[in-house]
Amino acid sequence: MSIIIDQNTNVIVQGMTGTQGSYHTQKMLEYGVKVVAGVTPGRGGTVIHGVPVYDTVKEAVQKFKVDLAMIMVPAPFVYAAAIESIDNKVPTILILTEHVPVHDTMRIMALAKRNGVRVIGPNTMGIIAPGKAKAGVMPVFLYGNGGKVTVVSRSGTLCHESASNLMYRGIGVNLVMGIGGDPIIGTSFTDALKLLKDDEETKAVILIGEIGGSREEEAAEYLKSVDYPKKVFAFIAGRYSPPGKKMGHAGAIIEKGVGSASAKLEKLAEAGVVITGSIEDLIKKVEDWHNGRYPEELAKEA
Amino acid sequence: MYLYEYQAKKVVGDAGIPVPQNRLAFNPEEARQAAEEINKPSVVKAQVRAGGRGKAGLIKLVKGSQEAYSSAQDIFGKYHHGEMVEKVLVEEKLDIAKELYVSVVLDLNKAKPVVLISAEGGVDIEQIAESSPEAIIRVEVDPLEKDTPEHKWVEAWGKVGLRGKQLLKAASVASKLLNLFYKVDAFTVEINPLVITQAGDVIAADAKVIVDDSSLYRHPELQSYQELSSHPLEIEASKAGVSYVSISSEGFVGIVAGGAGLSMATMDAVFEYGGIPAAFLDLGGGISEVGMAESLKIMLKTEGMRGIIINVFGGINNCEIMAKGINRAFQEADIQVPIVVKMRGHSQEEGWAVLENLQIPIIKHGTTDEAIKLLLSKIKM
Repeated sequence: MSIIIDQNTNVIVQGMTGTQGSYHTQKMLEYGVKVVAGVTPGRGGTVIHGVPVYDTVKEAVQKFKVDLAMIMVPAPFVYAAAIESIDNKVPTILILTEHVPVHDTMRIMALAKRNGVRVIGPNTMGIIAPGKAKAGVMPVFLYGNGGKVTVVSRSGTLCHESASNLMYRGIGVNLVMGIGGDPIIGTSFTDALKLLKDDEETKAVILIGEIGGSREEEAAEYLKSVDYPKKVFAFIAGRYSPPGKKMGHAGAIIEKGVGSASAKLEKLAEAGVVITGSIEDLIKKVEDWHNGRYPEELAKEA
Repeated sequence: MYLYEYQAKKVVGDAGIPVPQNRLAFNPEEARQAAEEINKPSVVKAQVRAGGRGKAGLIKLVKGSQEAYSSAQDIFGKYHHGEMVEKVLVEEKLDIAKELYVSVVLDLNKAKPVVLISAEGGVDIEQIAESSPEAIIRVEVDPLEKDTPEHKWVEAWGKVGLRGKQLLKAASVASKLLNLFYKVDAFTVEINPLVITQAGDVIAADAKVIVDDSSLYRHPELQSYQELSSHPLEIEASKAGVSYVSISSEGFVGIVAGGAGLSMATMDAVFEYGGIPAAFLDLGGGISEVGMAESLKIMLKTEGMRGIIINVFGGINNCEIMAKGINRAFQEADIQVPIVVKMRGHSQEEGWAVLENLQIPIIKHGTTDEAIKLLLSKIKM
């Protein structure tokens, strides 16, 4: 049993009839994911790659047990799509769309909390349990077939980068979660660490952060406050970013020294996290740990 | 998007919060006319985004229109944190009895608005927060609540000592400011100072409004406030739907990458191995063949650029489409600098085949660091 997604997870795709929705639905089906339905208002009755499309989430949940709704609709329609799944008590909502108005996310989060629904994203590549299942846009052959390391990252492409390079060096990952690059996100580093704390499959966690915001600092506080049972590694992108400049689409930005890479790394180091200066350094340190202490810990378990 | 003071005041005034009588001027003559129309002692304020205008001599008290002209003449063309003064706001001078503070900020971690209220306005709120945190009242708001009852603001202002008509006027400002926060999809709306005048009026003497760029599509009234970057390549990139950030005038490495995280990690690695990035270009998601070609051509125009790293994944993007875009750029532009491509993901075999035809070095497996080291060695050759 994996966290959030595995072979038994029933997924619906909101926005399956779009170009991206259709393409990634196909990729998920090829991976063996149980994509049970698509939802696009006005396109009910359509069939995409053999999957029925409904006008409403309600019809989908009446026909199937739905565990996860993956949202790939354009940004202006994300709010309506998300509250529809929340209203229908879909337990996990994954929002891949970027450029969602932040106030929409704020309201989605408030409604989700009220209804006990988990939200991941917006602006994420999704989540993958390699060898088992995925919901998202990641190319699965860069993620191997499972392992003991979990990656949690604000950046989707840095998920691809770290997972593929770990795989090339013989280190497997059991779960990779894009938490999203937006200012407000549903599942934070801290939430992910809490979920993983007692997960038996996870032996180490890699946190990939970015400059800006205070999610990494918050995670460091959490790790300090509990006796966290896993090895934790961290990399923060944007160490050399000029202050005050908006860095690309996700808009990572440092204001008045808050959220700088060095401040984040310092806090994480204080919490006992192995901090790293580049992707190469990250992979190398995980590799060292994997080749050193990792087999011992396995032996201890056996 | 960070609004200029004159834009923020327009928005705040439209929300029913009193603002001083003011006029925008684009040259000293207009400033003179503005002061004449206002016909009261006035303030000439440079319209630049960075703070600290007063200390920099960019806010001047003037008695009449002639003085407004000469003050404006001093201010126009000056630089403040890299921004040239091209507009001034001429505004009636308020007779200040007391300065208050009120703002609504979006608490990103809690995902809800927080209203901050203080009787110690006129200074930086962070200073107040440090020196006397008890002087700031924090009111968290439930974003699903339709109307926040007015008594909450009466209570808050009452706690910091306001009484009588001023209490009611300040409460009304807080209530209207929260409505404005929602209406314009703001990250921050701040009035500092909120002035109580000698006559007992409550007026927003300064206003700061930061709105969410992602929501601009539903705010036609704010779209005209969007200022194009002054950097020609940033403008060109934004037209092509990608994001170009110029990094260093001494830079010689161009970075084309997918996603902000990877773009920044690539930039870090360039610095780490002794290179200096000139600029980076984030392709974002869903890049087309033409978009990719345009992106590369924009990067090629970067001054001083002596080599390009293209660091991309086929995830939300597609390797074959991106490789075809690179190929298109090679057909349409005269490319003399070394280029290294690190590319893997959806349709990677097809993408690699296109690049192999162009005889571009490809890092198929391996880290960003490896790609950077290869590019830097090629630049040195």
